[in-house]
Amino acid sequence: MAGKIVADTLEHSTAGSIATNYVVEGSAKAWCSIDGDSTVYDSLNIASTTDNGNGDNTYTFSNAMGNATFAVSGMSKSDDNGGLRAAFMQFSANNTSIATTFFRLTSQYDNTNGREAEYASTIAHGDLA
Amino acid sequence: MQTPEFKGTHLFDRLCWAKENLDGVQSDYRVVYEDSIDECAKILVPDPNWMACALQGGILPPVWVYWELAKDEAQPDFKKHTRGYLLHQTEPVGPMTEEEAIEYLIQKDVPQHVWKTWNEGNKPKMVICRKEQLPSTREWRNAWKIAEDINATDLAA
Repeated sequence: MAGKIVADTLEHSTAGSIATNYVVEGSAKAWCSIDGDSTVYDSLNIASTTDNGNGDNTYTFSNAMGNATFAVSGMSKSDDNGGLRAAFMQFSANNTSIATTFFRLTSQYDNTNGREAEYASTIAHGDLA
Repeated sequence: MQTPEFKGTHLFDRLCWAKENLDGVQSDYRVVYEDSIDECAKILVPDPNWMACALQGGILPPVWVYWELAKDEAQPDFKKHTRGYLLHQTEPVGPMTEEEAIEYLIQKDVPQHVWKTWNEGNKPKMVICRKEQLPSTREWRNAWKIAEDINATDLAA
């Protein structure tokens, strides 16, 4: 590909240097934002989302991860206007929630019931296959 | 835009090229399926950037590559993929129509026991529909099921 630079180290004039594997290994390998119907607003390295039920979504990769021990984080926004309510995300507890080709998250509110998020965003860090 | 010659290029690099150069394609197709009698119907939604790659051609690997990786991961002693090169070194597939892309995605992301036997049993386990054919509200979402009276003739119509 055009513009390819092969380097093991990046060096700043005053701030020091950093090995490029920090960049390669530390960059997010997938990210995605969806609405309450699991329609994707924008993404990288996501092939599909699956709406498994209220607030329960599976995100499937295009480029699989190298192992099933990658890290996932996410934030979601409450879909109601009932005041200040927590809307947090966690791995689906009663199902397989992580594999090299997907991860499954639920958005929940303070009463722990799965609830649709008006906007749910998530990021995966780890090694690619 | 012409797809660069991507043979042997890391799949992630191809996806990054697509992200930078192709506009996302928001498909109206949805795949509704049931993979467990204890759970409600699930709805597969294609990613717009992935759909752009599928329509463009020359980016995505053939679907059998994912099946091979799934076989590896199903081994009891699986720790990490050792055949990831299949994603990167297998010649990418050519451009697909939107319908072909949905077929590909079903074979990639819907459980095999569903799509291989979708029409066996009392009612279809999987239906491809348009977004507007789904219920317009999320009411009783956790109770949604594929209609009992739907049949293959209806689906073919």
